[in-house]
Amino acid sequence: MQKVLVDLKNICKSFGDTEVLHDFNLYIMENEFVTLLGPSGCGKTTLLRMIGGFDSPTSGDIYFDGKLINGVEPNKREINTVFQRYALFPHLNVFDNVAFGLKLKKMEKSQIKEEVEAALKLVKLEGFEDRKIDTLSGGQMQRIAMARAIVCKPKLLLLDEPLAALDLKLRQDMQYELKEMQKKLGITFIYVTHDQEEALTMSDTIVVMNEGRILQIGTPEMIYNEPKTRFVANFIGESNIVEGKMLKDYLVKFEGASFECVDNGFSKNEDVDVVIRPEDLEIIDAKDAKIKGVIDSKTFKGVHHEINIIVNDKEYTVHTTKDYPLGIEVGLTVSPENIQIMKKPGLNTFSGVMDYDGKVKISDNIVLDSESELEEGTAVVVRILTGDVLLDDIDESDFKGTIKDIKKRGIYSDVYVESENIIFVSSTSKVHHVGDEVGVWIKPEKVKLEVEEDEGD
Amino acid sequence: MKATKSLPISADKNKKLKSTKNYAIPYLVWCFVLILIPSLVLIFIAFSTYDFTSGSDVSFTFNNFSYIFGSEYAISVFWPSIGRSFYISGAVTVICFFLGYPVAYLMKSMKPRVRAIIMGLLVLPLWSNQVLRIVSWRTIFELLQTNTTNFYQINIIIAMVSMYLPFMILPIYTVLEKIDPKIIEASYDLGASRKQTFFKVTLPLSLGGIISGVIMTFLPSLTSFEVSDAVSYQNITLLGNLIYERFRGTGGFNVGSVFSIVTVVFSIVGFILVMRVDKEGETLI
Repeated sequence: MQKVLVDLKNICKSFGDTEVLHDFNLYIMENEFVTLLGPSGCGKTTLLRMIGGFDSPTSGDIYFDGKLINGVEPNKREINTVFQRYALFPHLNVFDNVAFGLKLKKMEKSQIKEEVEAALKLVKLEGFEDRKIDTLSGGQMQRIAMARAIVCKPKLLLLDEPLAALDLKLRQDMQYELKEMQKKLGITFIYVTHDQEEALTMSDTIVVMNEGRILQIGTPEMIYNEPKTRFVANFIGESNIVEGKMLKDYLVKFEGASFECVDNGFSKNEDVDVVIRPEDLEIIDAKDAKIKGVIDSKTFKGVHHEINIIVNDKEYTVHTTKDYPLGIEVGLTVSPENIQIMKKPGLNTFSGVMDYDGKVKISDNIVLDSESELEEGTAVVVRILTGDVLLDDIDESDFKGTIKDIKKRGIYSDVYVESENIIFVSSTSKVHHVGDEVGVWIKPEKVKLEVEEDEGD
Repeated sequence: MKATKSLPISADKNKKLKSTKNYAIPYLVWCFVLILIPSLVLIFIAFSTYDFTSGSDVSFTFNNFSYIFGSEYAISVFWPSIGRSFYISGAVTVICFFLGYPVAYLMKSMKPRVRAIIMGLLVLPLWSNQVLRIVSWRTIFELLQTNTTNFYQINIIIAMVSMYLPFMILPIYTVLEKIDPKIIEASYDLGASRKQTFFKVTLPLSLGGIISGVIMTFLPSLTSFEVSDAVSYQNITLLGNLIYERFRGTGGFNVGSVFSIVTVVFSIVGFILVMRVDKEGETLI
């Protein structure tokens, strides 16, 4: 039975007015290789620093090995870090760098020597003990940083983009070695990177993050093959993403044709995004195909050709080992299991009337604050993303409502809240129950207004 | 083709290098006229019997050097003064270090605005006339009624510390500021407490700055004459005062030059020390 090693509960972190992490929840099992993957600024490094003890959460709890460690100093945590630019001690030689943590533990000299030698052997730098740090190459420094951290035998190793400064070939070799090391040592790794290839190669579990939220958690295969959102699909490898309509379960319509697929659980005729990986599209004879297009451009990529095909003014990218001439008409086909259907980001749409001071009235008693400067009495269309409808305690909210329905959407749920016969949809990862009364709260800057046209749309 | 193409480029480069070299000429002239020539003259006077005031015959001699070893004067005045100079400048340097290091250390973690203010306060006194500052100290000691024989040495040390403290703080701060914060975090990460991190990481990494600071306070306080002159009413004689005496009056140039050469030897030893610790010279500001 595996046990939970790290448990992050409702972590929020703000620097001044900027919120870096929003109500972040994640648990990590023992011996897991977990990668936090996301673009720079998504909060992944901040999260890692909080686990290491170099930052503290604005609110929320961090549990390590069953104990709350919020206020514990970094030197008292059984966690070690491999820093992004290695952060080796320039005034010490290789031996003293690696022995730094052991000396602090008041270990016997002979034992320190043994442990350091074993660690250097593991990172394949035996005999480097007396070398000065400034005589090492980037790859060697990276290995010393690894050795310095693992020699302390931590329960958890944090790695902050450790390979970012290395060249491509070395990076690929190190990816393999890191994974081997992790298996050999049986230490839990939390690895932070913005490199999707690194994440896919090494991880047991990938946590895709953006703007301080988890977008998807899963094995590399799950993340690659079944991206849950447009962002994940784009971030993990290349993708063709087109708009489609779910005609019924297991049948989707896009590019004017209907295709069998393996997805269900959408409402009838729901607008969806259809994701197809470039390597899953097949080029066939135009007369046999439901999708027809013209080859517009192509690039030879070594293993495959990348071919861009224009279909109904949209560009599809196909990876194929066969070469095709430019300008010819071809057909495209895809097998049902390679069509990935994604729910469109939810949107609440209401009609309303402007009140004083940018307030907008959408029913008798529901008045929302907005940042608009439209004149009083203007009829407007109000659009609010489902992710921006926040459910909170009743006293701190704009108005209250009753939960009518909850639909699970992977890691988050769409909660349908009714108030004065108006339904608000809120996408949230918090747990709610049908029938509960909740407070609804929407930040003024998230309320998007558009003047309603007189002559319809 | 390639050869002909590369020729004009390299010729152009040489030309550019030559033209930028020209900008260094004023400084080279300055060095020659005001450093090299006076140094040679100093050595010449030290090894000769030449007397500037009477214009006597010139002959080579070691007498000026033997004077500082054998004479009654050397035993009763010269060497005690050197000893006193080392004692006072040593005390000044140690006090500056213990006062200055914490300031430099705190400055590193301050908000930029506060740091700018502290930096301003450090540098501002350097803009006022040095003699004025020394005289102010004398006035303060007079007001405190500590201008008595027992307090002369302490007064000199206090005045010199105030004079040279910025030269201790600034190089140490420069070095501390360059330390990658990640290295400090790495130390905590490996289990070191704040105190252990300071002594095992921060302090050794700031050694270059400390040595620069030590040299920059020790050497000027070793050769200073104005402070002891003013604050002790010429009752305490330091190395600087001896040299000053010789050159102010008449007829003492030869021995005065020997005194100066002794000081230069100390300076050179100091710089060799700095170069050994700080090879790139980054701590010398």
